[in-house]
Amino acid sequence: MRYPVVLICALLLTPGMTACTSGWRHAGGVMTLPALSQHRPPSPADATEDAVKDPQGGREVRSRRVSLALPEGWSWIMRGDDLLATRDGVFLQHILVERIPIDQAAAVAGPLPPSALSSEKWPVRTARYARARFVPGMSPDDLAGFMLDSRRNNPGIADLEVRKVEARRIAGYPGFRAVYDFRVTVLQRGTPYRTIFCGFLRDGWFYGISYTAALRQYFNKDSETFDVVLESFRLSGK
Amino acid sequence: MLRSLLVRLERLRLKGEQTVFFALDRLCRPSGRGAVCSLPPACLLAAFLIVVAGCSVPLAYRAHPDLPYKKSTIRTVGLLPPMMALYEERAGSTPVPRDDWSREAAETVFAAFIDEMTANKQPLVLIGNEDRDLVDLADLFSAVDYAVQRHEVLGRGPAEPLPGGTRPFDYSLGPAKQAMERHQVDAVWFVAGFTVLPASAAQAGNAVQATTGIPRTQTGQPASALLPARSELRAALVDMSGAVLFYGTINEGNLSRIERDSLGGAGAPKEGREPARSAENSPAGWDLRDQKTAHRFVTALFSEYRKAVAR
Repeated sequence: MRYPVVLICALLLTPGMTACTSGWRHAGGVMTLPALSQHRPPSPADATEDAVKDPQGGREVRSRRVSLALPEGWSWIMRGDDLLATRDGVFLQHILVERIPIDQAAAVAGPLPPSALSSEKWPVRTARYARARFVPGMSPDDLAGFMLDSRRNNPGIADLEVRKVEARRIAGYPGFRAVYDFRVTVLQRGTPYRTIFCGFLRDGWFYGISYTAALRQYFNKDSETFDVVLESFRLSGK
Repeated sequence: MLRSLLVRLERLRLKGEQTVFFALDRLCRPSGRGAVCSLPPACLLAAFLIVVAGCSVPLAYRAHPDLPYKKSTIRTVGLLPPMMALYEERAGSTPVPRDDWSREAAETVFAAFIDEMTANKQPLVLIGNEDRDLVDLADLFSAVDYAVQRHEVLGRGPAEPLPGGTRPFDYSLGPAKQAMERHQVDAVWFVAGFTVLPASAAQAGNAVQATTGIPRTQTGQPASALLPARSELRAALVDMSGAVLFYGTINEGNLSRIERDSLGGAGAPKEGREPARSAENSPAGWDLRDQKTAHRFVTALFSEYRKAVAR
């Protein structure tokens, strides 16, 4: 007789508890994102030391683990394989960490938790609207062009204006830093946004970390915060 | 298993033998039997309380902690043209934005605001869309509006509440002192809203049967109004520092409750301005192009504002 009562309790508690959880978590401190893996069919051309044979006969290419320190007061959520962090809301400011396999044709949008409904089209994901392909050994300039091309192809973005693109070492690897402004069509009125996007290629994966915020009031407020987060951005083992 | 849980709970008892979980008292009985028997009702009660807490009546507004203080510094307020989005719902497709309806609703809501402010003897300055600074503020309000809807405990409950419980309501549009001084106002109301109407019903003035999906803009993207409501009015009062002092959202889900509360509470509307309750089920019940409907929404909004100020 006890079990049905316990079952009823569990049933009653479940909706109550789920109402209190949204997927967003407080951070503060160093966090590590686990390595991602991608299955590729066997191809001698791009065999690398990072590829290991998987049980299906192809190869499993793993990304590196990523660690970074998020500031106090920020919340984060895993959106698919990406880390999304914000303090006031993703439409006001956010930091996004993306990892895209170099063979990005296989990189779909990825599962989104129900709590990330506002993120179905926002923030933008580089792989989603990429028309070109990554090429091993791409120069930082070409990488930046790849990312900006993805933004131009995104119907959710309007009035894209590239302000600066420069080569920059990111987490110790040669990469790029791009700054661009845009408006989003999702909102009823298009307040301008600014993004700082830093990216690089390493071991068959593209790593991108970006900071986007409403240009008015919010961008400057947290741009230094992003610099600190970027400083803490590291790749570690697989 | 239950017994081990009870033992763990027992450890939670406060020092000085103060009982924090009444069911544990019975555990002290020699047999300990009573505890096991009484735990399920206790669990049921706890579960019930959690569920009830989750279903408690949500607030229709959020207010900046300094609102009661800052309210006293606000004498004249400005009003920007409302950003209304009306949609025509067509069978089998997503609602289509109707600019003509939206303009009509914006004018009606604008007039309702003016009437409400006049009735409250609140000095009001009407501001057009010609002031670039204030237009920029309105653009940013669109993003803040979205963020508040998604992350704050408001209305039907947030889709993506940020952790930390009910955080202090602290959003900003950035300094607007110069722009507000140009118009000689101490604060500005930003207003937005939407209505989804079925095509035939809207033409006939019958909006009652409207059901909504998520309204989408012409580009196919979700519109800023995301709550699954038929009609909604949102407004924010922003002061010279850019702080959002008050943010309210009125929709068909909370309108009746607010009207009920305001009739008996401190926020009761003035004599002769009792909301037209019959309009709720009238053909144009939720159409913000309708004057009575717009007045009901605006009156409810100010009722909530008065509550926020009085807190």
